[in-house]
Amino acid sequence: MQKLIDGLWVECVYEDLIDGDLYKISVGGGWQQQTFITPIIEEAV
Amino acid sequence: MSELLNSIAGGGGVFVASFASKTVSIPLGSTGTITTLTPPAGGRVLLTGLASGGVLQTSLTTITINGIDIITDAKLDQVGSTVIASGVDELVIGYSFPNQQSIYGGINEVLEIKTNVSTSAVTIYTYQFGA
Repeated sequence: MQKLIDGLWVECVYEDLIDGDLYKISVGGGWQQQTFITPIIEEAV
Repeated sequence: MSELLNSIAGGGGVFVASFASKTVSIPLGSTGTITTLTPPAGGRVLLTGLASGGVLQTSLTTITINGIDIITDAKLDQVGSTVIASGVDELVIGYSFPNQQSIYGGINEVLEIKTNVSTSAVTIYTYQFGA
């Protein structure tokens, strides 16, 4: 996994990501790239 | 189709997968280019599923391949839809919806999924890399 920092892709782990980070995962020889957003977890009432 | 004819036709013919994703989810509230799929060198990307994981998306989704818009301003309907109520604006790819085929790009072409404003529900998709 890598995230974009100041125009450079830097190795990282999932826990390093904060809202708005652009990150990419190497899969099958290609890349899957997304912007990280903290998932909203609904609490049971 | 032979390899030679495949090459003449720009990679047409049967898509042979070398990687297939599980379902990927994009949290609600995402905006702009929400996903970029880059195939391995010499390979192609095939989008096999795209839908809302919840209610109908109120944001508008655009899919581009190699920078060219091929679907614009579609509202993603929820997974499992078998009937598109209003027809023209709504879209589901895969996920048991019978009439919408997968979308794939050419060799080394990048596929992007974009939205005009923040998504109103989780977006889910599946894809494959191959040749």
